[in-house]
Formats: sequence, structure tokens, C-alpha cells
Amino acid sequence: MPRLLVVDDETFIRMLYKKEFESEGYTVLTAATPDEAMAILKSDRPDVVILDIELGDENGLTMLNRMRREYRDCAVILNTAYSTYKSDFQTWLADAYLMKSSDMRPLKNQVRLLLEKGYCDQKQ
Amino acid sequence: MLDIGYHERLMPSLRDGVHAYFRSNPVGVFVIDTEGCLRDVNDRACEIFGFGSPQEAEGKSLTSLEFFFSYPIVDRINGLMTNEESFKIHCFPGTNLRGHFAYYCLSCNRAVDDAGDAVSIFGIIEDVTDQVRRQEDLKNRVDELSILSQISQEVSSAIDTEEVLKVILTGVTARQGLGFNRAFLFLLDEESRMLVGRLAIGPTDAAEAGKIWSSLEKVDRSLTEILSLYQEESERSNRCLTDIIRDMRIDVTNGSIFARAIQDRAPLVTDYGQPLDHVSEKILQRLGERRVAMTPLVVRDRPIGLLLVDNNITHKEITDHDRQFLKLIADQTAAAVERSYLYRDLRERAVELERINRKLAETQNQIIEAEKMSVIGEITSAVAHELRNPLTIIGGFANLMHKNLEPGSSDAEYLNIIISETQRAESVLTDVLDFSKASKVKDRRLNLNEIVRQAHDMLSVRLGNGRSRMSLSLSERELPIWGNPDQMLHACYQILSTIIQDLLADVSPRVCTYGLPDAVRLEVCCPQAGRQQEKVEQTLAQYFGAGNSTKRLSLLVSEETLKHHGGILGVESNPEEGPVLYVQLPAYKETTDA
Repeated sequence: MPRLLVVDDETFIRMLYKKEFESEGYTVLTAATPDEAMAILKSDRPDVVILDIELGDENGLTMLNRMRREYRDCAVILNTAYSTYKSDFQTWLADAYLMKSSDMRPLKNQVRLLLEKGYCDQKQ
Repeated sequence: MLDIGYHERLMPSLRDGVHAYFRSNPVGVFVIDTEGCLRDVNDRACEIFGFGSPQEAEGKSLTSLEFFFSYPIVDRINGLMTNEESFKIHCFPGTNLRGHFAYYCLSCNRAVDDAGDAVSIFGIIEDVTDQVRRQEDLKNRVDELSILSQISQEVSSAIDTEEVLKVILTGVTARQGLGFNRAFLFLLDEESRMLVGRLAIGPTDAAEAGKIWSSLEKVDRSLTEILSLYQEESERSNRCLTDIIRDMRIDVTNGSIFARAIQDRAPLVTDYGQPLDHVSEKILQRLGERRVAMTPLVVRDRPIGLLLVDNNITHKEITDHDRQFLKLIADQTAAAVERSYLYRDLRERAVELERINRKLAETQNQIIEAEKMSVIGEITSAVAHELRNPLTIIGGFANLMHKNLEPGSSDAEYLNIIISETQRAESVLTDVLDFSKASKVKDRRLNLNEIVRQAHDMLSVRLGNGRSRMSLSLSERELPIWGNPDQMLHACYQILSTIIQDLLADVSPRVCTYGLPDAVRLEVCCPQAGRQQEKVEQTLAQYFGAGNSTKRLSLLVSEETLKHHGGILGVESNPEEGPVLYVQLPAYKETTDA
């Protein structure tokens, strides 16, 4: 079963995403800070990470950098309220960039696409 | 009145002594008898009249001296025989038997006998030529000093260069002063190192000279009067003369006498027959005079022009004294010209300042608008973040609940309302964030160069003149784009303002524009940053890198505006110029749909 990690400092966002994705059959892990997230990454090796950028006093892009060094095979979707980060070259390290929305379909589609891509890559 | 009896009573020895004294007296003494003939003439008088000896003079009638004494003087001497009183003529011109011209002083007394009848006329004649010359000389010096003083007064009140030059040249040619026939003024063009003909004063020919000079010489006129008379009398001839030199360009590095005068900073005189270089020869030929005096105009050891004079009409010799006096006038001219230049610069600066003030007033509103936009952008961005999360949560849970509802549940309607209203709120939020898309009606064809220049001007005004050290290098060809002029101006202003204010204390950014095959580009870089390169990189990273987002927010509206116009704002690394901030917009083509 694909494992997702949702990293967001907003409790209700974490709760929402967990419910939504679990209802789709995913195993959903959540973290409120980069440190928590890094610990889960180490212990549970999720397939996809849904990562917010503004994490209180911390920055999701810094965590993205660390992830890319240590866990190269993990897909990352940046999910934020800001559109401005798109022009930051650091965001290019992520596999996708999506604006937060109450309509979860784009996010779900993106997760599915990444997992399919990961599956195909593995097969090849 | 002389008593002749006194002579007869003199002792013979005394008479001999007096006679010897009479003969050798340094003053010319002569006696005329009642017949009007010279009787006794001493050696000096003989010399003055041009006789070889007293014997040759004695017996000559007074009328035979009319070549020397004019008729009115002869008449007055004859008058003494009858009743006239003694007289003295202090100075009159005369030419003697040998053709020598001089100025003389004559005094005549009549000698009478005991009965009181005239028996002879006793005359004393002196050559006073030296005194007359000295007086003339003195008068000339006084006139010269007077002209110099008047020139000084006139130019001290004149501020227009043309007016100053006119005063100087008129002073040089005024007959009360140096009285040169013509004067030419050349000013040095610093850039090309060429003397450029500027103004000339003087008559074009003898007839013109006669007309002008006679009108000026009737009475002693002041320079002010001469100046106004010159305006009327010699305007045409001055114009003709100025036309001769108007298009003249004399290279001051080619070794001609003109170049030498400028290089040596010393006056020069050329004369007939003096061998000259080809260039000088040609120039003097054009002026129509070979004998000229020239003196450079020098201010603080810096030559600014050349004053050239001649006596083309009278052919009067140019003396050393003329040359020295010319130098004095040239020094005055140089100072006055320099002053007029300073005044001209001051006036230009005043006009420029006025223009800037006008521009300041015009751009004040634009600046306020741009700053408002910036503040709105920051607030909008912050609010967007704060609102988007709760909206996502509310709408997300509503969706979740809606999915889990039993079919036919009455809550479905309410959940649908929550979901649709949340989506509407999210849509409004997107519109607010992208508010720069709002005024499409004003979109039109624009030139990126003009927008950048306008933004640069606004920024210069905002930072204060001279503080905006950024250099502007705009594409020579038009860079057409399609868009809203206000929004594009605000975007450019905001980008330049944010970045340049952050960099200003350390480096001088270069702002340039250029065209690509299908796009136009604005770039800001710091090619001369040197050791400040790291600071530039850090500053740009604040806008586009991770970390503090305050700087990034300030560019949010600009970025959104550019996006709306199909453009992008970004940073790229150039190996030669370091990090480059760029704005790239699609080039507008007439056939393209806007």
C-alpha cells in the first residue's frame, strides 16, 4: 500500500489530508515540523511527501534540500498557499508544485501520477 | 612794450654781450622792421625757419614766410605795427624752408620809440614738437585707460557671452582707445581643440570706414555711446566681417602661428614679408591682411580663445605698446568670457532644475501610486496565505463529509452550499492576488524602453538627483509589448526600486534592455561589483531564494503583473556579469492577438 507523508504546521490540514487519502486507500503519516518529518522518512520510507513551504518558523525548502540529499527515491509535492515560490529555483527540486485548495482532486491526481511514474521507473 | 632808447643807453660792451647772447640763445629770436622784413635773426630762429645763416634770412619779407606762418598769423604780426596788442600762439603746426614739419610756439611784441611809435617787432619762436607729442601721448594713454575702464564697467554688467564679446571688440576698435581698424574673436572648442570664429567688428572697406568713423569722431563719446552707435552704423559691415570667420576652424595643434599663440599663451605680431606656414598664410589671406596682432585669451593658464586685430584700412603700424595694451584687453576679455560661460552654465542648471521640479511634481502621484501598489501587494500576499489555509480546510472537510453522506441525506444541500461558497471564496482570493489582471481595457501597444526610462526617472526623483548611480543602457530600437501601461510601469518601478535601493550603497547597477527574436528583455546586473559580488548575490537570493520572504513579497505584485502580461521575472547567472535579474516579456507583433 503506498505510503504518504503530509508535512504541514496546520493541524486541520494534516487531519483533512489524512482522511482524504486514507479514504482512497493510502497509508498516511503526518508531521508538523521538518524534524518530525525527517524522523518518519528515516523510519517509514514513505513513497510520496506532501510538503508545505511555510512551516511556522521553519522552511519547507530547506527540508526539501536535505531530503534530496538523503532520500533521492522519494517523490515530493510542494503544497503551499503561495504561488510566488514557483520562481525559486529550489522548488525545482520537487516533483510538483501545487497551490492549496479545498478541491483535493488536483493533489490526488498528482499523487497518483507520481506513484505511477515511480512504478514504471522501477519496472524499467 | 619795449623801450628802444634803453638799448641806445647801454654801454657798447654790454651791447656786444647782449648781442652775443641774442645770437646764441637756444630760443629762436627775430626782429621784423617797419617794412615787414626780417632784420635780426638769431641762429636758432634761422634753424627753425630753415635758413642757412642769419645773413640769408635778413631782409626777407614776412610774406615770404607764409609757407611757415599761415596767413592769419602773418596778418596778426603785421597788425602789431599799427595798434594790435602783443600776442602769443602756444602751438601751431608749420613746415619750414627745408620741408621739416614741427609744432611751434610764437610770441610777438612791438618795439616803440620815445614817441610811442612802433619801430620793429620782436618775436620769439620755439619748437614745441616734443611737448606736443608728449601731450598727445599722454592724452592717448588717458583715452586708453578710459576705454579699458569703460570696457571693464560694461563687461562687469554684461552676462550674455555675445554681449560681452561685442563690448570687447568695440573697445578694441574704438578710436578713443587702441583704435584698431578691425577685430576678430575666435573661441576655443575644448573638445575638438579648434579655434572657432565667433565675432568680428570693423568696416569692410575704406568708404565704410570713413562713414562709420566720421560719425563716431564728431565728439568724444563714451564706450556706451559708441556701442549704441555701432549697433546702428556698423551692423551690416560687422555682419559681413563676422561671416568671413563664422565657419573658420583653426586647429591649435598644427604648429601655425595661431596654434603658437595659444600654446605659448603670448601675443604675436605678423608683418608684411614675414615668412609664414601654409595654414597661417591661408587664414590671413582670407582675412585680407598680412600685418596682424593676436593675443590668446587665457583664464587661469587655460586658453579659451584668441583675439586678432589689424589696421586693414589705415595700414598704421602695430607697435609694441599696442601689443601690450591688447594683452591687457585680452585678459579682461578672457575673464569676462569665462564669467559669461559660468552664468550660461548657471542658467542652464536653473532651467534643468526647473525641469526636474516639474518632473518631480508630475511623478509624485505616480510614486504614491506605485508605493500604494507595493503595500497592497504585501498585504494581499499575507492575507492570501492566512485565508487560503482555512478555506482549504473548510472546503476540504465539507467535500469529505459530502462523500460520506448517506444517499438522500438532507445535509447534502447544506454541504453543497459550503463547498460551492468555499470555491467561490478561493476564486475571489486568486482574483485579489492577481488584481493586476483587473484593468484589461487599458491594454495597448507599449515600448519597454519608455517604461524603463520612466521608471528610472521616477526612481531618480525619489532617491534625489545624483543618488541614482544606476547606468541605463536602453536598446536603440523600439521594444514593443502589449499591456497595461500603468501596471507595467508600476511593475518596472517596483523591481528597480526594490533592488536598486538594496544595492545602492555598495554598487552601481546596470539596467539594460534588448530584443530577442520573439521577446524583449530587461536586465539588472552589477558587472563592476568586484568584491561586492557576494553582496549582490545575497541580495538577489533574498528575492528568489529560500528564507525571509519579506523581500520576495515586495515583488509579488510586479511578478503577478508580469505573469499576466505573459512575462517572467527571474534570476540567472552570467559568467561575465555575475547574477542577472531579468524580466522577459513576449514581443508584440502587429498580427498577434493582444
